[in-house]
Amino acid sequence: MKTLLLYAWKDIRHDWARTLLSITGLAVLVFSYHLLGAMSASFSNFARDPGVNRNLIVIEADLIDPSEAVLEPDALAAARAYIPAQVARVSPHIFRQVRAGERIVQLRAAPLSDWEPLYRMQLLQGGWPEQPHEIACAETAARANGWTLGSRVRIYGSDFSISAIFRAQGSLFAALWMPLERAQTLYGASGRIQAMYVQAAESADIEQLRASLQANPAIASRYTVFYEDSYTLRNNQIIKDVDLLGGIAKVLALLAITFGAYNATSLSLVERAREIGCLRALGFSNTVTRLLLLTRSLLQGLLAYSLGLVLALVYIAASAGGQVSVYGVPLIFSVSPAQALSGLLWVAALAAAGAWISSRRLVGASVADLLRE
Amino acid sequence: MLTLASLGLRAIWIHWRMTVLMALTVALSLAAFLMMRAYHTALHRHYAQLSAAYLMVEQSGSMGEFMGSRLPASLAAQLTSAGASRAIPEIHSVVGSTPENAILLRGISLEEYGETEQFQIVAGQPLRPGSPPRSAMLGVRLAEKKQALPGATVQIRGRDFQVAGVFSTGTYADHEAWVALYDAQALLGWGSDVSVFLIPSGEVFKPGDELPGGISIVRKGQNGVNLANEWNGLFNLLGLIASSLGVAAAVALTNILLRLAWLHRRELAILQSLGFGRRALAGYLLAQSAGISLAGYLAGVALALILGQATHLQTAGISVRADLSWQVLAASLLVAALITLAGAALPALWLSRLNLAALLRADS
Repeated sequence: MKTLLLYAWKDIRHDWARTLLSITGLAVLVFSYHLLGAMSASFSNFARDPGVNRNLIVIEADLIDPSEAVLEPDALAAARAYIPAQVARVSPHIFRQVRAGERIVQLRAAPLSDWEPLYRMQLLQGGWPEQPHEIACAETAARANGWTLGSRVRIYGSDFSISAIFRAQGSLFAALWMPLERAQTLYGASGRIQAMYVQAAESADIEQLRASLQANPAIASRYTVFYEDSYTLRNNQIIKDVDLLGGIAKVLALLAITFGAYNATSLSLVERAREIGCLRALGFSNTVTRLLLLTRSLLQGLLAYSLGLVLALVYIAASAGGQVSVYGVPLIFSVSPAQALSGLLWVAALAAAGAWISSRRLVGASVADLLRE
Repeated sequence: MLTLASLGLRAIWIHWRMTVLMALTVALSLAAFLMMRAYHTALHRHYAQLSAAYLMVEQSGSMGEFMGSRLPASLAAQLTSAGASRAIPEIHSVVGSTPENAILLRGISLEEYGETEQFQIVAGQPLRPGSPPRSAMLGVRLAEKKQALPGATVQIRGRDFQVAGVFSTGTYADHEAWVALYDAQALLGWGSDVSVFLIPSGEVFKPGDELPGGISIVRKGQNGVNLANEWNGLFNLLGLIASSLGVAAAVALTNILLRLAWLHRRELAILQSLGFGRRALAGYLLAQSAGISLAGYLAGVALALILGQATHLQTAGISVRADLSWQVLAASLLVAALITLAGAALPALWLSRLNLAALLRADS
């Protein structure tokens, strides 16, 4: 094995110019594949639900954009009447899509006391907003926009300073958050509540609670009661076609890798007919010759794969992964270990297949024919 | 030159398996480029339609031309008293229970909408002052989706509306349902509120002006431009990937041409010794490169047409299909030409530096 590797390595170094060309072509394909894979994974994460929990969302029926919904105080009061037997918390919620600089970002507002127990927001840096000009920012939104603690963001004509960076489940939480009363002050008369989050009490049957809320006269006629995960999944369907396009592009890149790996391998082998003839004349068996060619291809594929992977990682790091956003939610790209491994296996398998198929003719030919080429 | 070009094409014909594989590699990169450009073009054609005649008054930071803006009706009087000659109210919202059945709803002033929006009636009649309540005009794409002709009934937010006419604008408005302003207000439960006001441009207000109470003035169509630009990041990334595939195709083409030139080195040496110069040899390679790229271009266009038919981008209420216009096809032909030149450059350089006659002597 060591001898095979040594021969293959020497061969690669001997024909360095052609090897470099082959590796460059394949590395660029690997780079594309990883970028598309990262994009596809990011879309999948976006569409993923926030996990099953004990939260319900009550929002106006038949409206796609939550920022246009209005929740009247009687609905809020109706839900609060279930406290404490069936409901632990009722949280009024404001939702807006706002322009912050050149980007559209989501702005959410809810009572500060609900942020951790109900919305499961985990403080990473700084402190929750205390001053009127302070807001909190999700880590994904911060990364995508290059915001840090103290960064200034202009919203609805007022300047705010980021005092907290937090982590929360689900991509819909990739937003700027402010306490409810501050949002109502900011928006004045138009600062209507859009929805309410209802957290079921520990002892409550959440299905019964949902049915009961939906049947409540203050809610039934105008609002729909969703499980939080169902609502998130429903809304995230808007990007499923973009995900499909990303998937198609990934298949195209994979096909290009297939042809690229096969071409690179077969070309380098066919030109070696005479050398292979020499090896056969010296007594190398067909199997050993093919193993040598296979090892060479795998080494070449591995080098190309490593280069492509590094290029993709550098690009993702340099672009901060936040160049793409969908409806105000930044998509953060990363190459997962699973994706890196699957890419490696693909390249190795295709390089090996290319070597094996294209060496069929060479090992089948007579030594004399090979030496004549 | 022509002789060598035909010899070059013959060589790729002889090695047809290699040629097919290479053409497919080129086709994949061109298909990726075509799809990216086709969707980008379609998105901008649908959304990016700036109006020179009207400005729009909306809630600051919102996308009032689509959704998210709500203004009091009393603002109209404030605008006209401040110097605007007119303030035409409109409602814009997206209604539906899921993104799949979403409808873009526009509430229009029946007296004035004909002046602010260019459209053609495809079937039926336009809405007029005095049209019966719960009448609607459907954009041609929405009418197709709902399979609704004039006289049919469509449900908008659970209420029945009778289709008066079907219109076409060539923009995202083709996915909209237009109803009288008062019907939209009743449907949404907005009372007298509206989404936006349209005011003539060139008067006292300018784009970028801010009014008290969080109200902004933008050009009509600016929201569409902003929305289309929101996707620029994604298209830039896809463009980078398409370019990468193009580079990979050019590198692979270089490899193939080097290989073919090596396989035919004896013939080329003979031709060189017969007096064919470096330019002729470059023409030989360029013909091969162009032949493979042309086959790849045709296969790439076919693949893009199939993918374009099979896919569409569906956002809330709007379905965007790939727009494989002649401009997009011409741009991809240019990319194919670049791949041709890039693929042939290095082999041509290599061939020009190689002493083929000496090589022929050594080989024999």
